Amino acid sequence: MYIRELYMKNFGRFSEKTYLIEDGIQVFYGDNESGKSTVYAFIKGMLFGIERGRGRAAKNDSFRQYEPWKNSNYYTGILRFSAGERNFRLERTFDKVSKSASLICEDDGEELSLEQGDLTMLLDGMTEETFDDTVAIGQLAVETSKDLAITLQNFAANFYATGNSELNLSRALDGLKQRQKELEIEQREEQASREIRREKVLQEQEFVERDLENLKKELHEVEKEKRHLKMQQELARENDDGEEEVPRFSLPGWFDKRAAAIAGGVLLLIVILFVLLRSPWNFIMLAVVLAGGIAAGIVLYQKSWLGAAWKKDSAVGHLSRTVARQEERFKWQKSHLLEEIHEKQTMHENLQEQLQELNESDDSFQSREKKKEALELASSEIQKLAAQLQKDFGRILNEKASSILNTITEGRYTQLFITENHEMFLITKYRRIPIERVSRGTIDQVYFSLRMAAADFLFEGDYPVILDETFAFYDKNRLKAVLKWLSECKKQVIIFTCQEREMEMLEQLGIPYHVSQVGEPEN
Amino acid sequence: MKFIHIADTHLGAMPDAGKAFTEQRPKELWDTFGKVIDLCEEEGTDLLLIAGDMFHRQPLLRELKEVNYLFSKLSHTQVVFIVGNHDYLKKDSYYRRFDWSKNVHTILSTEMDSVVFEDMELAVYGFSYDKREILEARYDEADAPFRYKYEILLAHGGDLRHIPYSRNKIVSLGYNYVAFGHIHKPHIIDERKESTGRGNPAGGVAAFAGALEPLDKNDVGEHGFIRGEIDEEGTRIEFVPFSKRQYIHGAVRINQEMTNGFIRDNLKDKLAKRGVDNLYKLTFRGMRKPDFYLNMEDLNPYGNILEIVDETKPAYDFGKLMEQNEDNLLGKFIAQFIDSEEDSVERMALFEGVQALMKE
Repeated sequence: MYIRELYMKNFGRFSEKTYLIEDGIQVFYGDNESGKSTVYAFIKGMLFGIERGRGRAAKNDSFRQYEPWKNSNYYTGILRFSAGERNFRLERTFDKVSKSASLICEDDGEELSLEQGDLTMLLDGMTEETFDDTVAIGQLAVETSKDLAITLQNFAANFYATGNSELNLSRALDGLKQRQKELEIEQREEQASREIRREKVLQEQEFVERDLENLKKELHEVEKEKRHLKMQQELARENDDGEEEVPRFSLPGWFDKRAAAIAGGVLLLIVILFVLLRSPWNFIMLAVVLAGGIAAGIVLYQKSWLGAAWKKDSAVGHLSRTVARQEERFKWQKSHLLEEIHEKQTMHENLQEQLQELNESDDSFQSREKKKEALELASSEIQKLAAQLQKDFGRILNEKASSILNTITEGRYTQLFITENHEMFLITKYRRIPIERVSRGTIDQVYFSLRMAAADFLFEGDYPVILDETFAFYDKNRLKAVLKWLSECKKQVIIFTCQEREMEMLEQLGIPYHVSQVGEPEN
Repeated sequence: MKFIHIADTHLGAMPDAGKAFTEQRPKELWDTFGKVIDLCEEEGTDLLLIAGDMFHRQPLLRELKEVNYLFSKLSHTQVVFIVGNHDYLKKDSYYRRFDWSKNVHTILSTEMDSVVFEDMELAVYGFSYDKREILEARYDEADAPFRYKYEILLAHGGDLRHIPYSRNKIVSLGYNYVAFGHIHKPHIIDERKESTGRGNPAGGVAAFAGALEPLDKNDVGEHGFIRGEIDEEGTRIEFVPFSKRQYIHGAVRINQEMTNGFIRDNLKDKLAKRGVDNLYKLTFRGMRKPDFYLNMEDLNPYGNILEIVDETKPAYDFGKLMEQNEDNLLGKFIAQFIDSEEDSVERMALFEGVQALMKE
């Protein structure tokens, strides 16, 4: 593709302005602020359109920046170009109301369709992004020369790995890792809260177990007491059986000595009276005494036996009533305890069930697992594709860029070398120099080489190379070398510059070129 | 004969009811249960049927005492219940030896058994669970015996592991009414033709009362009980919404213009309108700006949102992006996944990968 003519009906500062562009080298020369950037933006806008930003982003977007100063209703222009021996007329209107674009083949008047990708085809598939990455070369926009090396290294690394300098492989992978980490944190938090719930249930269970333990102990106590009582009762019954014989075989204690003395006295008196009294009175007296003695004996015996028996009887009655009462109490206590134990056991089982349910996973867990799987998949796929790209694209790119660099540095740097860690070195005949150690001009040359190599790789046909103040830091020899290289490439070259050194050098080299003055010359 | 049919009251459960209500939720289950009993008294209901899972787990003695106290207040209503798969009859269950108030009739047999009310010319049939699962379709064969003028089947189950049933068979068993429990969503199966009386195999009526109170975030919609009447003219039933709260699944559609603040305020209004006493699971859908994320912590103004599902998608035009980037990693990456199915892992990987690659 060759650009033939720019017609700016209304675009930024320009109104009804036409630039004809010749084959070979075309120089747009003008002071700062003269409108060179506007011409550059116009070319880009015509080729790819100008999307309006939305919201906050809209404030400084290209659409606003190049809105016509006058007649903003006619924010429009025409770009003529040729491609494959045919001439085309591309017309665009940028303003909000009547935004439109048309593409006509001027040789046969055929109207082509932008929607169906006719323009993209004519551009060899070049997109706004690849345009920015390859053929439209400015300077690396950086603050310090140290940043410059880093920026170039990033550019190269991304370019090699992703085929696009804006696509940052390591940042993308880091981003995916970060998302994974977030999910894991979420999961951990949920697990922790589940653990807290589990702990609570376990604690409750522990309380219940302790209660159960105590209840069982109590039950044991009650049973022990009950056994004790039973033993006592049996013992009491045994005692009872033994005592029954006692009154029958032993006389009360007082009976022995005093009773023996008295009985002896009484017996002596009876003998004396029996001797002294005459018959039959002595016999009568003896009979009376004997009868009285027997009666007294009977009474005495009866009295002592009955007393003991009664005494025993009342004790036994008292004991059995207490036992019954206690037995009743024990029985009640036991059934009450058994009930409590059963209740606690049920509680324990219910808590066990609850624990089991807590172990089951829920849907939020599953959706998170799915998301994790997706992140894993995205990450591995990106790595796989990047490796492939680096192999296919990066290697060729590096060879081409090295060859261009070799030419434009006149053999000083023979090769460009990028390590796996994206460190960049330049190889001279004698040594390897880290990119941070070379001059600003050399870095610009590496940048140039890379872009030209990429353009050559990506686009099969011819394309214009647009150089926006690209050579500001080039020394004389390198400027000479690069201009020579460009003219030998037989490409259409459009140079924007505010200096005269490019023109002087072209003059010196005898390379034909055309100049378009942008803005009014100062004098 | 007027009846009220409840089921799945799950007393003793502790459902997740969000930050705001989880703590008081167990008591609410009891409160609503009590209210149904009050209503029986008020309306002079003849029969209260409880179709299983009265308790969430094995009932404690004190819990049975509470329930029995509530039943004992009924001056007119007869209560019949069976035991479901949640509170199934263990060997040493209190159900087996509890001394119920005289108006309470349990069917604890695991074989078909009945409770007969001679004065109402009514028999209630049913059986209880003595295990967690019953895989046989036992109700399919449980034809009505036709020994009494009115016959009701009290049943529990209806999914694969809990007495699966066939809809056609259930309504052709010949009962005046089949009172089902277990499925938490209320549902009436009415296959009666206009003039068919009882026993016409062509169709009878059955109903799942549903859980009296919803117990899980998936128990969406209205919950309550079935109120009915059976007489010479037939069986008439209606579902009566009665639960204190509802679980609601809501979808919130967002677009690229919305901010977190706007979404929060808008949500607050909407929740207020649908009722702050209800419990929500919200799904956010729609296209969002690629670098916009929902601020989840900020989206639960009333503490009644149980779950938020973020299904929003970054607004990418994959076809266009792929075309513009066909030579580079982004385009090649999109090409790997662009034909993936909606909601698949691959689709999700596409969104995540593109987002990561395009992040600035």
